[in-house]
Amino acid sequence: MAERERIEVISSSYRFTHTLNLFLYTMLIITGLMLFSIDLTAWLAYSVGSPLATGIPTTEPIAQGVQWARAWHRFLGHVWGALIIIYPLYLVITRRLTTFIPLKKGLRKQIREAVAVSKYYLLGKPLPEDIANNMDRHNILVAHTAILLVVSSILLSVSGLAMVYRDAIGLDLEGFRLMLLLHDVGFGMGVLYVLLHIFAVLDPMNRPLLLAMFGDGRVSLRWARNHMPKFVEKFLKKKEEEERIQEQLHM
Amino acid sequence: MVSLTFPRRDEGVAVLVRLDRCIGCRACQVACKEWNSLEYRPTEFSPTFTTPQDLEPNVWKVVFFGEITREYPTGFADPYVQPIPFNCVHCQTAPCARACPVGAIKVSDEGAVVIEGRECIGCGYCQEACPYNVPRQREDGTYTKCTFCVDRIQHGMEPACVAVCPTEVFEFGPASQVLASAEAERAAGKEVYGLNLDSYVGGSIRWVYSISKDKAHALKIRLPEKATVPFNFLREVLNPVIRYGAVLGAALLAVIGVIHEVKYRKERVKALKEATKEKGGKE
Ligand code: HEM
Ligand code: SF4
Ligand code: SF4
Ligand code: SF4
Repeated sequence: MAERERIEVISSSYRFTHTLNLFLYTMLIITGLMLFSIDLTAWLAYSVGSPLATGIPTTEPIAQGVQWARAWHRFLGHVWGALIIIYPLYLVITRRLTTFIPLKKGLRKQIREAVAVSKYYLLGKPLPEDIANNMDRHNILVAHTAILLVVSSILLSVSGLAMVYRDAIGLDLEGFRLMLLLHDVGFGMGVLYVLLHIFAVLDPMNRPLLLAMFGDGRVSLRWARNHMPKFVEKFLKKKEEEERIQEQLHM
Repeated sequence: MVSLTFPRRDEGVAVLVRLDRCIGCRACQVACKEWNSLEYRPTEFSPTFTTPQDLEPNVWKVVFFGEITREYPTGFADPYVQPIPFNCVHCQTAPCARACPVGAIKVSDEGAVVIEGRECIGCGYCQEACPYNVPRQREDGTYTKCTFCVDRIQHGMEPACVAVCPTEVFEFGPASQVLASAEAERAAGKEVYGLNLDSYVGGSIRWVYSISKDKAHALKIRLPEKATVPFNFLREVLNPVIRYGAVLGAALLAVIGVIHEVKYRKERVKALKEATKEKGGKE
């Protein structure tokens, strides 16, 4: 393969799911914030709520705006919940889940890599050669932050559903209090994940990946060799194998 | 969460409930319904005098009957039924008002904590935050509770339940005066509930109770020893941590990101220059 050739690092299903998730997550954060911190979002609640409250003497614009956001939060919560169940299931069934592969390394190796990658991101220090040469599709920090995301998503979806179906499942007052607290904890963890994620993807080193995510999912082979050599090695091997099978079939 | 200003503890009004004077006639419970036009419903037969069993959307005041054993210094003991008229105690820094995500719970200059029904979205956060489990959900989804008869007290009248009491259980008046009466009760050897409570409710409530020490355990029937809700307390701690943490974190990461970007661009320009130089040298 020529160095200028481009290889696919992000599948189309992943790109679609990521974009959908990005939209739903953003909307859930905005609508959630209208309950979490009305002092900051009252202007938005008012602007949405004033047409809804017009002509109804028993209500008031901000309350209507928040109510509207709350209804959307619950609806989008269900859609998002379905997405975070269906997509990971698909990945597991088709054996495409690669995010957690770095966790197979020993703990000491994981810590060394995490420190090296953090030093790169925070201080701009180049990665030690052995770590750079062994880089797979995802680095160890991606795996660690993905755990944060998974825990946060479980907390948000389980507590969210419990609150929506509070009466149906017979949740008592203390249970509701706990669910609301867990929802806030999940929200805090989610916010932390989003910050770290945005910081990492905007790093100049990852620019081709960012473009690939919102483009055709491909990066140049030369870039991939430098940033994920282990992945390229596996990718080329797989490709060779496929070509050999094709050849044998045509003989 | 909403930021509110609460009148100081000695500002506004308060009520001292002298439980030793209560005969359990329930006139206050009825007057509350009457004044606030709250619908009546037949209640179920139960083994206690308390009826209905707890607050309801249309029952803002309930006289609870605590069945206790009163012990005398002689060693003699007898069963005793202590009535406890109970409604929203109008916490000093009402946690329900702090928790309401739309600011539907107003605190008047008198210290009355009032749910404005028009603004309520029915989320239940107020009930979640209340250590006394007071707010109740109406059939239309909104929450409701005792208003301290704010419509009466702002026009120079006593609350309806206070006005009807035949044995003058309730002393209603300026908070400073009522606090002094409560202190006097304490000095006279009575148990006083409501003056030294958790910081979660602002340390005190505006409906303060006094009772003889030998009957004091009856208070537990409806008044918790610890006026706090640990899960909601944690939420209140977490809220600013998430807000300010997110803003600070984003600012910090943005600065690091910009430094990175500048460094990266400089390095690229240098590399490009070197590459063109090498090319030029070769030619
Ligand atoms: C990305 C995912 C989510 C985020 C960022 C999020 C965020 C939030 C936030 C910030 C609040 C306000 C909490 C407070 O006032 O302290 C909230 C409330 C709530 N959320 Fe979520 N949430 C998410 C997912 C979900 C899901 C999946 C559901 C369930 C369908 C859900 C249901 C609720 C409910 C029921 C409430 C309480 C308010 C109400 O009764 O409507 N959320 N959410
Ligand atoms: S007793 Fe409950 S409802 Fe009443 S002011 Fe206190 S927190 Fe609010
Ligand atoms: S139920 Fe109504 S009054 Fe209670 S916190 Fe929610 S909006 Fe506020
Ligand atoms: S103060 Fe008014 S609303 Fe509150 S219990 Fe008494 S009568 Fe009812």
